Amino acid sequence: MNITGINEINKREAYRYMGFRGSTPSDSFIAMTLECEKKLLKVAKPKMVYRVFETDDFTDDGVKLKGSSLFLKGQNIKKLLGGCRHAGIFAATLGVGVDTLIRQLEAADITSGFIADNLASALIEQVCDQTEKEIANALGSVTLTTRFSCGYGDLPLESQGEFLKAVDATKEIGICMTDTLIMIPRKSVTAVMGIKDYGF
Amino acid sequence: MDFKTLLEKDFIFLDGGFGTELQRLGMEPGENPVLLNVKNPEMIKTVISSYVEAGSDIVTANTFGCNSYKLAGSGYKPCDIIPKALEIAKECAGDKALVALDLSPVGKLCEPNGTMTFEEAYEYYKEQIVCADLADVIFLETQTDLYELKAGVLAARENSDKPILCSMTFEESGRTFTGCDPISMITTLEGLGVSALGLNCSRGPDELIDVIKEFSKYCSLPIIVKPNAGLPDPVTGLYSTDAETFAEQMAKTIPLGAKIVGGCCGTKPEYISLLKKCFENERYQKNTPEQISAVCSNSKTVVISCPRIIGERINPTGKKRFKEALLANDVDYILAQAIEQADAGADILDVNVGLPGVDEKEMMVRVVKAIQGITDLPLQIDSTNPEVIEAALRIYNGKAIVNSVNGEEKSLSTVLPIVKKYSAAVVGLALDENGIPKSADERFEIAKKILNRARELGIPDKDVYIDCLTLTASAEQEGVMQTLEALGRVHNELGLKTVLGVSNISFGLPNRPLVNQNFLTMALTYGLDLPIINPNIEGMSGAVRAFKLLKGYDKNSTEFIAAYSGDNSKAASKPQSNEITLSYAVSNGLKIEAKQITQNLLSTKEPLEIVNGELIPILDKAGDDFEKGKIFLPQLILAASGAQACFEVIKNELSKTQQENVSKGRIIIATVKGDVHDIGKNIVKVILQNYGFAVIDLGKDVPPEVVVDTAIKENIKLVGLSALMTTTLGAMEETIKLLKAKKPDTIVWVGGAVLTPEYAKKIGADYYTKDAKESADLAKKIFSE
Repeated sequence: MNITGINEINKREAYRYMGFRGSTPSDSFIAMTLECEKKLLKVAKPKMVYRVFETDDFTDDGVKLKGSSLFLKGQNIKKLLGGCRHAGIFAATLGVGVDTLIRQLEAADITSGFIADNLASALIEQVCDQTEKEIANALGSVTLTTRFSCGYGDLPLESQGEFLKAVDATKEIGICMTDTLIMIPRKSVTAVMGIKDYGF
Repeated sequence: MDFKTLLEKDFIFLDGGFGTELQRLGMEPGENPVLLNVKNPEMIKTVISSYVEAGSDIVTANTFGCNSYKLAGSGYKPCDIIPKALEIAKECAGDKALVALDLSPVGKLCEPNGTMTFEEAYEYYKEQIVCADLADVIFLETQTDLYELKAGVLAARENSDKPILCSMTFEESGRTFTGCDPISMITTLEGLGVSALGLNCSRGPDELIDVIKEFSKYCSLPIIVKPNAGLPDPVTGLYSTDAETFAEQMAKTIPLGAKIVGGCCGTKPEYISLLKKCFENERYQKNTPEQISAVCSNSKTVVISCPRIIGERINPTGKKRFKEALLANDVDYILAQAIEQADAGADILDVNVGLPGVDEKEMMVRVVKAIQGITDLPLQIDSTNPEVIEAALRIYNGKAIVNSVNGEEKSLSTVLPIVKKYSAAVVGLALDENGIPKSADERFEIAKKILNRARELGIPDKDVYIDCLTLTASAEQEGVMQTLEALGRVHNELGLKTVLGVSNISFGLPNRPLVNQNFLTMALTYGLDLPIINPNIEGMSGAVRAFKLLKGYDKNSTEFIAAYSGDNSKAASKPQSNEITLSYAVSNGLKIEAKQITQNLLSTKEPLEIVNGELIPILDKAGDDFEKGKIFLPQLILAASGAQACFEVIKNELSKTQQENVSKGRIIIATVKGDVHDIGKNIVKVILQNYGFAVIDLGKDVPPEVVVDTAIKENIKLVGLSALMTTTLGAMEETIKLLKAKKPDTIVWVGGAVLTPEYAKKIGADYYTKDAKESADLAKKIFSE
């Protein structure tokens, strides 16, 4: 589904990604950033897809999900999902238009490309936050744990493909993966969250 | 029975969802469905037979996703499974239905967004098609990337003679995930020898009705409509629309010209039988598509319903700086020309890279791929060499114009077949063996000859554009009106679109812009559709805008007002260069001002004096401040791009005055195989260039062999490699190993978020740098040794 209603990018966060380390950008830099933000919001087509699975089995080395081939490996995820009868898997993306825009800006002016790249990183985080809210709303009165992605802690990056498959992300929202486990469009995220009190 | 016979029926019924049916029958989650052809053929038979029974005229074999990328690790190759899958389908279909080889997207994205090249995509399709003898038709469905789909269609055409059906997955917004819209799909594929076009999957018929209307408006081939049963529930996975509602909704597509109908995800056999029942008493209502001349990229179609500007700047003729860029493989320079013209209002970009000393074919392919990665404007391939034209049309993502063919036999017989094969549009020059005829009548005759030859090959009139050729007014004054009269006759009597390179008219005269602008306006009134001009000259693109307004093409003057009123920052921010210093302009990335000041300085100083006395100290200071933590990465990049603008002015001046642009050293940089995160590498590039190094940028996802071959060929001492993912460090190590083996004197430095000095050492790199500043310091050190 489409994620709508994000009209402003969290620029504080974007400046942090850029490496400003708390110092204030100059007025002309801020103006450039606002210009990039405008362009980015125009081409970004944020989308997400999610599925809810029953946590089937807590084994020694991870958690199995019912109705999916996805095995969530690692102690971190076991801890995160502890006490959760359900887990939500989601994938979210800004779409390839953002990749194209960043390439375009880079070719014209490397600074704008750099700014847009960091703004887009901030935006995809906002999209993930919004995704969490949408899921919580759709499921009724549930509590969600924090989200956790492949490559965090001991949840292997190699699970990326299985995450995408679990929600049919390629077909539903157009996320593909390279042989080297990079998601394309570049600004895409997959994550798992524990769901408490669902279905009671 | 064959597909042609089926087309005589009012409607052709396809099958319904395959994957969702397999799930219903208990397929294990995560299982690759195509393996079931071998592991559980009975399950496949159940699905296909149920659709044959439901009344499908064409059933798909269980081959969706049967390419070697998706089969990797399964122990099977496409040729192990596809014949078997087709056999199963044939057995179920008997003489009741045809069997389709069902082809899914490969599963990885094509360049420029992904890493799969056009040629690789072609191979993935080819390997499936060559083992599909048993199939009656080839159905490429659920496609989202026009580029990949074009590769698939070419693979089908060149390796089989079966009818080809194509369908893409559009969202409600009317675009696919990669931005393709129905008109661009139709414009690109209609002439490529396919038998039907349409859409499948995504949503239910009601949600997709606007998309189907687009097909109705533009598609002259039979239209395929194969939507989902609405949306799946995120918890249960069940689809929302029942069979009856689905059939009712599908009935609404009949007046829009739907001919080949079925269902996708969530539609079961009963959906197809109900659909068939619902359509039983209806007749096929062929749509009447608009007859348009159009060219397109993947995501933008330019309909030539009013004058459209072709930007002429990507052409080395008479441009020293451009020639230098070509010889130095400087694609970035060419991309900047593309962006500038797009911003100035070009609708189409002409691309000419022919220059002695440059491999035109290789360069054309590189440049076309690069340009289509950063702009959505359709391209005009400008070359007289058929091999170059074919190579470019093949990898072009859309429908291009070929510039040009002429009335000479050799040209007609070599260029037109390529135009036909790739369904391009073509510019026909009104000249032949005897040169450019003086009179309008003779040029008109050549135009007619070109048109007739095009028609003989089946190239539609709408794709033939005629250039009646501009002669210089100073040398052949009487020729001016002959050109315009010929143009007028082609426009009125042949009904063809017309093209004209305009700027040549004023050659040898003072105040050329004035002459050009007036000639342009005159030509437009005679019916010129495609002026080839420099759009960056305001008077030229402005003349076209004004003409469109006055002629009533620009409804409510919308386009004109948008261009000239309100926030016209270009006009408003005239640089006040005398008030600020070069240092301030560079440090703040004020490119326009920085350029202006540099230009002013050139009147009193030598170019190299400015570089060494002004620019380098500014950059050094920025570097120092960065190191000391006084400024941060964004400001360093800002200063680098500000300086870059100044260096462009300096380079222009050097090439104008024939001075050698001495490089401080030549360096290769590349983002390693499998990695697509290249912004860090690009920042390093700009800073190295600022310090006077000649950088050969091999781009992203660069195979080790390419790095090594280039290093050997160009005899490069220093190579920089970047990687951002732990998963691509292996490729980095491999590249270093190969470099050290094949060219042991190479110095390799590495950088990227996941690297550490220790790890760099471990994989055999000579140096590690943590940022662009350190990279420049390292290069300076190495080349001063």
